[in-house]
Amino acid sequence: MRICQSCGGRYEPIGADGVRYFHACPPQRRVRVRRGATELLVALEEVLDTDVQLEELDVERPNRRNENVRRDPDGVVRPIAEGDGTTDEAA
Amino acid sequence: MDPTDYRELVRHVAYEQAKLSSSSFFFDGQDRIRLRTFGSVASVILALEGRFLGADGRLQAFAETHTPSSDRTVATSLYPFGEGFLLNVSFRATTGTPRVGQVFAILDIVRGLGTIIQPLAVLFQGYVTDTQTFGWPGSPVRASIDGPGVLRSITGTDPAVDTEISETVPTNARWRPLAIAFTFVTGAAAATREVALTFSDGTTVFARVPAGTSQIISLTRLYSAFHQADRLVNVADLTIVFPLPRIDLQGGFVIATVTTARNALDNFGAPQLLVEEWIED
Repeated sequence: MRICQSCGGRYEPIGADGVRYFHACPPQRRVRVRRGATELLVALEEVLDTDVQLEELDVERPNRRNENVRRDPDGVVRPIAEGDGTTDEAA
Repeated sequence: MDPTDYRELVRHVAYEQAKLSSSSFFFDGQDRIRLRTFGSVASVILALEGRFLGADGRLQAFAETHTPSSDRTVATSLYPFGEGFLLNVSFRATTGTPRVGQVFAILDIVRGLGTIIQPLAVLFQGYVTDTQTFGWPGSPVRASIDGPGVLRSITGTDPAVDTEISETVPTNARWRPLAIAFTFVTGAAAATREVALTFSDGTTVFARVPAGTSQIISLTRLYSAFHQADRLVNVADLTIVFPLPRIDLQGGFVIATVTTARNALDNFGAPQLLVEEWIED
């Protein structure tokens, strides 16, 4: 079992049918708030009681891992984004 | 008659017959057979076998191997031939057990090398398996999304706490989701959560299917969506059933959950997807 260091998701890199599984991190939930005269995008747990909540939305992680591949201009096939890498879960 | 002369006569006749045949392909020495494959399963080796009638009238049997990729990207092999006639070629998987939908092959005649390759004729195009032998002449040229794909049961990523399910269709794959099941455990915080499935192109949602039933504090529910399902809630089985639309998804498209009033302690389990899959470059 592999653990994504970008999103904490756990997955098997090879499925039960022998086909590779390509993990891609899900988005993060953020809240757009008005804090004083400023609009901010914050995590739910960072919302203050004095904030005016405008909307909840999902935004792509800045360190998103996407193991799906693409062929770069040099012809080499690489993952789209490494993110923060992975670790293997202890057996 | 001298036996050597007789054999020479047979070779000459065969070469002349091949010129008139509509099912043989003349090579002038500059042409090559190119085999391109797109594979989604590892440990597969293809055998390319056939017969070539050389300019000297001698019949040559050939047998080559080719290893497809396992990430659905293209793997290419070029096989040079001298002057003569390609009489037939066939191929199959000799290692591994790929099913229809897992290894797509394109066999063509080309001229040139490197980045300057000119395709001249397609001999075969279709899925290769270990039990069915295809070849030229005879086998049809088919698109990769023709006919049935391979059925796959996929365990997706088990998301961390306070994270939605999100599954991305792999590069060069086309998916038709047939069923999706996942558990949702709500934490010890009062809120009325409502789960929906969304389908997007990776950026913009183009379909959203609400489960149609809310889930409150400290509950575990199994959500099960499949084609032509009727919405129902089975209290004893703790299952919420809702319909899944028939939608085909390209590589990079995303199936995800979106939950209103989701709490930081809420947790989804790994989704289990049943999909029909094709190679699509």
